[in-house]
Amino acid sequence: MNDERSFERTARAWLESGVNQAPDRAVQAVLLAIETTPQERDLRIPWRFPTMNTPFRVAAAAVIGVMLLGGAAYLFGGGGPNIGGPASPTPSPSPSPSPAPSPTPALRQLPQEQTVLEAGTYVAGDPFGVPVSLTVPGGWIGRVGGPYLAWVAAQTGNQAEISLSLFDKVFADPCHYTQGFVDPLPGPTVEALATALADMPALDVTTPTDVTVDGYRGKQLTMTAPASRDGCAPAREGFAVWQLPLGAINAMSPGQRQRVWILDVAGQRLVIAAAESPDSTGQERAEIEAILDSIQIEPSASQPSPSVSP
Amino acid sequence: MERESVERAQRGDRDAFASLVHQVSDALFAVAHRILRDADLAEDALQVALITAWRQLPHLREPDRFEAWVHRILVHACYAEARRSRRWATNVRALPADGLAGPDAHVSVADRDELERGFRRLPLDQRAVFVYHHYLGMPLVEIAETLGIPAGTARSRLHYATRALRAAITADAELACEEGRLA
Repeated sequence: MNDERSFERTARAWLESGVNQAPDRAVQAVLLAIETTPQERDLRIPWRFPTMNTPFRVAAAAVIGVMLLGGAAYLFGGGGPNIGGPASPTPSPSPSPSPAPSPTPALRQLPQEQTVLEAGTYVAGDPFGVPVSLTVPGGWIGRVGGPYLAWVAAQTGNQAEISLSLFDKVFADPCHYTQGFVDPLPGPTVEALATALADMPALDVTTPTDVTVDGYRGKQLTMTAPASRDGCAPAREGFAVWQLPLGAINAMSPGQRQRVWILDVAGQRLVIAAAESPDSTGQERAEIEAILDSIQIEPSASQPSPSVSP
Repeated sequence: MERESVERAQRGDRDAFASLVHQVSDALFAVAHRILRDADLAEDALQVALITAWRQLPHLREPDRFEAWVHRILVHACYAEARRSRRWATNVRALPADGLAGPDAHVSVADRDELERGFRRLPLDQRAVFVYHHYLGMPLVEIAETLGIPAGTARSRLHYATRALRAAITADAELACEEGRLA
């Protein structure tokens, strides 16, 4: 490969020698996903706005401000769920003193490409199946990864992370990845998934307990991965716990702890997982708690499903 | 690529979009696989790109540019997949390994290894330009349009990729000679 032409010829031949066909399952997964994925509406913004005189501009700004504040109050009213705290009874609409007005946090869509986030409140929405808002400190990264996953994580690589996911498939044995999934797969209820996770071999899993998060009932459990891979044949990424419909897996590294909330949100089984590793710093752990406390769930139906027993 | 299919898909026709998916998925996967050098990541990038394309299709202003547009989405999906948290990697796959596509008479095993090692050290944006130029045979201007970058940027990325790849190959060769002397 001494001359430029020889180098280019060799590089071209090397590039041509790879895989050329998309796997059928990938194409089928896409076709399946678009069946339930809405398109974005094309809201064309005019390049020019009508000229407004100053009083009208002031009035329009005031109206827009009221609408934004009202919309935010509608979307995120009712206070935080304190997900990190103990289970609380389903909130009732009892009269309470109106809180003093506080600044409304700016809401942003959690981006679809992995991004370093500015401090603020983000909505994990379309295409993720359940709109959830959370407030993150500056410097965390995150994204909506598709219809079944949204996550935020500390940028340090210490595996401090909070994920929101929707899935049915649970691995049979995180220590022996090639065993595949539990058979049969857990049913569609919160209890079925909680039981499947609690029964996982190899991991240390607490007994599922009843919780209520932002008015939605569910189960909470904590999973801790073995301290080492010795004697195990886990997945390349770690101890595989569950798999999302498009193939991404949740895997735990040795010694990692993952708190899991399984909630029935108007018929959708939302799983919130807060993971931290032995390498996670005290600050990262505190940030995780703060993010958990900020989580608010706003499904299309406003009432929690009655199917989950208290 | 039929403009009519694109326009129908823009109006929400899923069958029309499925037809487009079948037309472009092989080429997209091949490019993603070559940029990422990993079949699992390439598969994920393909899926993310196509679902993103479906969602954003109503925003496409020039239906005739669908193919270039979806390639741009794919490259960004490749960047995102490469940065993705390791925890969310996909690996329940049984794809053939790279080398199973058949030996190439023009590339020796040593050259192949050198190129592979050198290429994996390149930044992703340089890899993308390199792949579009040398694999798809795209001129730099077209690469720039496809990726949404200035032509000068495309040119410099190709230049640096080529230079780095040649340097890496040379370094590997020298290292091999050195190890041969020490053995």
